[in-house]
Amino acid sequence: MKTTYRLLLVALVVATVPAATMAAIGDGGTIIVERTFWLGYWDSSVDGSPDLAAEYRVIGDGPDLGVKLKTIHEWGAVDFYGRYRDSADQKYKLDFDVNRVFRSQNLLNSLIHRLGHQPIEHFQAATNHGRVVWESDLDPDSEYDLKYQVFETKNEVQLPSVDGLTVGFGYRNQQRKGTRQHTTISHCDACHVNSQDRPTDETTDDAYIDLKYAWASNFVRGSYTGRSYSESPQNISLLFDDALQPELRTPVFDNRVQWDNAEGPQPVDLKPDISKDIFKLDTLINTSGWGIVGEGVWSSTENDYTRNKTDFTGFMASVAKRFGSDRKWNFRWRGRTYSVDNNTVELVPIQRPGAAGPQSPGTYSDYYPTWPQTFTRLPAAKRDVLESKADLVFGRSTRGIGQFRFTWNYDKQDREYYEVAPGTTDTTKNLLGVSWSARPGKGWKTYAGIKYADISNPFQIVDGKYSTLVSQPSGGSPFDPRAAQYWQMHNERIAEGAASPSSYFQGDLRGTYLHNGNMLTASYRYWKGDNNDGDLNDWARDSQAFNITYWATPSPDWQWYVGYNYNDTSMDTVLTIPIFDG
Amino acid sequence: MGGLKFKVTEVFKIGFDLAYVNATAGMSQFRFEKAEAWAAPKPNQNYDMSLVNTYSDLDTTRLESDLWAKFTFFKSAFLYADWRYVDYTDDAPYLYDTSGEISWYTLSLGWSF
Repeated sequence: MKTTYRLLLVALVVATVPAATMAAIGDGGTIIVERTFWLGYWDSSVDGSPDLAAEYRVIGDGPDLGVKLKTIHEWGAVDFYGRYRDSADQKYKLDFDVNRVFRSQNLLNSLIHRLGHQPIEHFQAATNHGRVVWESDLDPDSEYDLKYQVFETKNEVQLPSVDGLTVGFGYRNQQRKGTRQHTTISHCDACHVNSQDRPTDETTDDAYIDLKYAWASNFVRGSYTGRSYSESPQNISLLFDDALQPELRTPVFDNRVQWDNAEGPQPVDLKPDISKDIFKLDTLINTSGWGIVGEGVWSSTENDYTRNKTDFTGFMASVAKRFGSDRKWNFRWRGRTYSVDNNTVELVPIQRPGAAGPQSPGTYSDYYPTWPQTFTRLPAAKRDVLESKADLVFGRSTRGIGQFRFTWNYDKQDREYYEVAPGTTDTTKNLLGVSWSARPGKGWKTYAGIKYADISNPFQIVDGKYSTLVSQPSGGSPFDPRAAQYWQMHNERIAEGAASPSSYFQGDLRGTYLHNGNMLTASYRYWKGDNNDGDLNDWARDSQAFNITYWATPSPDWQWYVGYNYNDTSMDTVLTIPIFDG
Repeated sequence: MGGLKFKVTEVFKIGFDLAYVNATAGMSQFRFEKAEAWAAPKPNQNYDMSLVNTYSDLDTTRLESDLWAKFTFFKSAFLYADWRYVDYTDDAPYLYDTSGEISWYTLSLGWSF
């Protein structure tokens, strides 16, 4: 909280500078647009759970303090807004400009996010054989929430002595602090679900500097941003249960788990701290009626503990030109290409010797020699992507028959490893669209548009569900090496899992009517997509959204509005349920 | 949703906003059609899936309103009062009942100059 009050103090000090300056300059040099202060008190009453009724609002009581200050001076302008109700409910915004040489935008915002406390008593079950699911809530009285706070400052300096050069610099600090509910499960002896507090103290820092040189209606700009993300609390741990056979109560599963209580408490959470460097170079050139925009981005992200790394290289270009008689035609094209490169990860599971039973003292791979033992995790995100968006526009929405827009978007994702169809790693999307916007009468604005997209090999999980393996262990013993194992069951899956369309249609209708200070707006969107491309895959979704709102100002003394929104979505998908018996 | 803002007199203004949201979502019932054939030799197993869809039942309503009044006196001073009310009702609680009703009251004295 010290940081909050320090930032608040800085903001208030900066805000009072113009007030003091005003007094010095006098009324002749200052225009006061707004100057308001208030002091009050707030209280609240709660009946029932605040978890969703006040998911992002504080409850309790406290002061209500506020300032609005907007002034224009001979030397520049100041716009300040500040409101404090609680350390988790405060907002400050300060923008100022000094002689058009130094411009600054600053923001501090805090809010709360209630997470509730999910009871876990439903994790209780038993069979006739005594195998059970049970639970332990190690912190049953905890209420979970996170306090979110962001501070951001963006600044620009334009030195009069260096014509066309602008130096920008800024800083952003985002924090999430509080406690979350963390659940972990122990296997074998029983399915034992444990819940405990997980302190959270996340900080993301961004600092940037950029240089922009502008001439005529062109510019070129380069920037560097450094980012760090840290999660400061120590890892939480859990002492897992002894891996016992649930009926015999013997340690026959010791060679099938990587650890149990014999290894002591184990860390059960992750600290994904990262460092990131981002370089950007962009330019705008206007020449011979063409507007040309180009941008290059190079970034590198590294986990501070595992040293896993992601490199991103991207380029963007955009061109636009009006042509034809009365410049009625307008062509615009935007293209982007980028590549993502990740390192591979090798996983070598711990193999413990068997402690009892028919597989003692062998390890798991001693009895299942075809089990891989070492797993190479290939980077699913490693890919080359090309995106193209082209628009051809005829007419003006404000004149005559209106404006017609024809759209063709093309995307191609070429993944290095991840298959989206058997033997295929590419996804290609073509989207065609046409729209019409016009002002058919005084006070009217209308829009109608349709889009159709066709996607070859949309994202899906190949052989992600529906195992065809039927286990028939000899003699009924799970320790018979011929008995089916989980990984063998996974290997026999034949159905694709998908939640992305292979084609979709979208239609939009919008209208606005403005008359004598009254306005009626209405919009409707219909979307329908499906995917039958994969094995045993049948996915479909359609949705409709409708909105109508009426604003009225019968007289300068009063205004009112009324609105209605309707959303409806339905989805069909294939569900597979594995049947276990033992 | 709806709302109004009304200048009762030159020094007295009131405002009111109201929003009501009803959200429902759920799965269609599905059956494990071979259940009887599978269950016959396994009397201790339960393959009845007919109630699984009820685990994904969502039915909530949210009423939110904000009533405020501002009274200006001595030309530049003002008194501001606000009552914000939220009633969230979970009509199909699953793990726990998240229903709640909350009121916030604010009274402030201010100065514009």
